[in-house]
Amino acid sequence: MEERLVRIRHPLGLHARPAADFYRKTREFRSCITVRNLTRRSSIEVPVSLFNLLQLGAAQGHQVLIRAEGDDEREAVAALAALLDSNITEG
Amino acid sequence: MVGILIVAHSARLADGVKEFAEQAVQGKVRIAAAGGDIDGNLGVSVDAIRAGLHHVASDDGVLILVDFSSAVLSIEAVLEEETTARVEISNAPLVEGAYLAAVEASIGATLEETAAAALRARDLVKIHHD
Repeated sequence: MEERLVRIRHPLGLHARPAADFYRKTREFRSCITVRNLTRRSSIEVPVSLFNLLQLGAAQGHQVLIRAEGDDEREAVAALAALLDSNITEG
Repeated sequence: MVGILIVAHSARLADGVKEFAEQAVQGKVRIAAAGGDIDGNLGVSVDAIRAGLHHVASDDGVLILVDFSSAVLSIEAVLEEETTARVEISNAPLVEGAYLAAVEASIGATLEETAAAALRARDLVKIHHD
């Protein structure tokens, strides 16, 4: 199992377009991928889907935990963390 | 790839939803808008729905998103003539449903998976309180 904690930097949080990009990227890997917003008490670890990404309520400054389990878990987590970092700094 | 048809009682509404969904998938999915009646007023047009359906038709099927149920009669009138295409009309809210459906279609999902993703929009929470 591989995991990484990413801090959301964009003022709008994980909004519609980056959430869609993130979800599409997860489909390039075979690993089972989950997400959780550690900053919200109500957030639980959930399998990644576009719906679940929107329900994270990931606002600026929130810490999102990305977890992957499978034969490409390292590549998956590295790629997803990098994407979240770059997407979130764009407009 | 599954195609998406947006049917709304206003051309600008349908076009705006199409624009929003297209931006999320960067042109990877065929999306058509059929909004307003044939005179450009509020309403729906059987001709516009038929044209939109032809534009997005594929072997994988078409998911239709609507704003209000009064559009469904017109859609069904079109579907009665079109027996070849696999088509499903979604019960999802228009904007969120179109967005979720377009992204799901963009990863090569089936019509059933795309329709299921769109329906999740009914449970979407927008205000978080913690």
